Amino acid sequence: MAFPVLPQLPLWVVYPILIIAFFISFFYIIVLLAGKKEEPKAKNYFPEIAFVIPARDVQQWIGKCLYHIIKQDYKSKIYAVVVNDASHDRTPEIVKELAKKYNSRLREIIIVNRLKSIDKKAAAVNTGIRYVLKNLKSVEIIAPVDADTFIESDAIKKAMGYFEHDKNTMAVIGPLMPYNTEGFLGKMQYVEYVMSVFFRKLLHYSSALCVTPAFSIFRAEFFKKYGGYNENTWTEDFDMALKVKSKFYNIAQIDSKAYFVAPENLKKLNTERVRWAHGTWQAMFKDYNYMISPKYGAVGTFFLPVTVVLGTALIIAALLFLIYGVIAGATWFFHNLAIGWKPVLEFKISFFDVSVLLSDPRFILAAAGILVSVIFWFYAQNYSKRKVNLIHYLLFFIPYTWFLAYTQLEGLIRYIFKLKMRWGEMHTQRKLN
Amino acid sequence: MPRKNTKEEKQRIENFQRESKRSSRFLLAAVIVTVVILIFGLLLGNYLATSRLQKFQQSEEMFLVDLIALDFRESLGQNVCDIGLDGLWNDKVELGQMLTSLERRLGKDSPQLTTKREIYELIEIKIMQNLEDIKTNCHEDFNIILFFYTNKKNDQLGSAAGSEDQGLILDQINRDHNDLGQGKKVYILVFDINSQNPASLTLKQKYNITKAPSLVINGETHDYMVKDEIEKLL
Repeated sequence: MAFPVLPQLPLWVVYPILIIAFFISFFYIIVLLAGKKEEPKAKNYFPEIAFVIPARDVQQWIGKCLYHIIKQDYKSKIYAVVVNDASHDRTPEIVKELAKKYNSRLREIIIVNRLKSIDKKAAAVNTGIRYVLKNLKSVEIIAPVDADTFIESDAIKKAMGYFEHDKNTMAVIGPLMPYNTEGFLGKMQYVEYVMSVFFRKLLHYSSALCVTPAFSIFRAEFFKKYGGYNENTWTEDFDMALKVKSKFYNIAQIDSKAYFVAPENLKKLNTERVRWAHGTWQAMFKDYNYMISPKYGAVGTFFLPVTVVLGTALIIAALLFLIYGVIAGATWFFHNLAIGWKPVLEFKISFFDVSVLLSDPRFILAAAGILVSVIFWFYAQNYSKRKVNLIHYLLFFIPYTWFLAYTQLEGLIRYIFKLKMRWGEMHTQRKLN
Repeated sequence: MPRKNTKEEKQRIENFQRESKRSSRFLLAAVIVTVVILIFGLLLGNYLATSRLQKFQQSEEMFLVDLIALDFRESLGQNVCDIGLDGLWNDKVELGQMLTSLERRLGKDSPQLTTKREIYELIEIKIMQNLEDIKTNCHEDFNIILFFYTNKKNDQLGSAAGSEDQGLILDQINRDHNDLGQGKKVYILVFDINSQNPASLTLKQKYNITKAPSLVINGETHDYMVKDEIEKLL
């Protein structure tokens, strides 16, 4: 042979990917059509609430974060407990200034100082939670929120509706949207979050919601009974959600949004997503693998086994198939060149060729998949009340989804081979140090 | 692992599992819809493929009618040199492309294509005879290449990979000579070495073809040849 070639992939490999993708999609469509629940309104339950804000070198954002907390449309007392995680910048001074400015009968900013940081958000949040449980005994609700996250003014009021109407609801999350949407990555993350908050709402409708991201609201009793965040995982948020669900409590999602500062470059985004992937695999293989069971409802039968494990495994498989396909295609290209074939740019396709292509079930199913994704695109915009440009939506699938698949693969490799992980820079002023 | 459940926890678990039943119904519905859509996709694909096979069959039948008409014209005394084969050859090329397209869709070993491929080979043999007649009687200068290939992996009669390479080289020669006008016109006719059609068997015997890939260039039999070697003979 003139040039060694790799065998081409059999075309049936597409089927398992299509089947899983269809199953996940149809589950969501059925929930969308049949599972909708009205958002309950709070009538009598307006307890005292304490926000816990881990803050390390966040002078750029902490003021905005606190402002949105102070300005909550909520008639009971709100504490904002800022845990200064050994900041090197002006974060503590800014917090003190804001406390002087805003502290009143119904609003109070408190600063708790950690003299030495172990560079883990969970540790700082736990410090805040311990402070609240020990010193603010009248507080019934604790809401950890990242310092670079800004919540809408009716978020707390809406969350109380869920707590009042369902005593099994232990956590309520706010849909996150990126605050910074400039540039290609900003736009892609915007599309990603518009879609993900929509799917999370559907998971909420099906009692399968199992995430507590940068803005989550908990009953304080949960922390009293079961302790705070796991400091030995790379995804303390996901770990906490699994902990809530493992105790058979519900997690709900309100419609009021929270805006967070998204990673603004590929390196930071990659570090963040690899960390998430690593933490997810850790939870699935080690800490919470027992939850893949019908005992845990749709979390144990759909969310964890199908969406998280199978869905992620398939997207990794699809990425590997793509890479293999490109390499194999290249070997064939060079092989063909070596035997005298010359590439020509010609577009010669007959009606018969097209009609034969259309008769391929893979093509028909892929077309159905495109239709389903258009339905999701439409409803996700409706739910989030945000427009998503169709071109951006297409770019989200190619190449952004491939990038996400890569981060999953890297996270899995790092988990399996116990490679070094990084928390990554927060989107802050740390570079000033 | 969860510790032993208290009474309050048992109540909560019951509530949780009641809610789970609702989700189970969604899951079941999703499984059913997925299966239905997959079956629908496969059936629709099969239906469309069958309609394409019928279309191919129609084209083959029309081609056969043209060939029979050609035979009649010759037997009724019309000179083969006056008839010309260009139109018929172009139709044959188109038919070959349709067959290739169907092979890609249904697989080269598809039993649905066996008879159709045999008819196509008979058409090729008939055209080959006409080409040889024209070459001999009308003193036209062109090349005839017969290419014997195999699609079967691990075929005792030859190599599928080698056949694929040889096919690609011939494609390039066809493009150079016929599309780009570099050199004399070349007529390439392809035959499956595993074909059991009596006419194909006779053709193989005539040219002593025992393995694939094999080439018959202007009446002479050769093994696999690289492009330059073929070009020297054209």
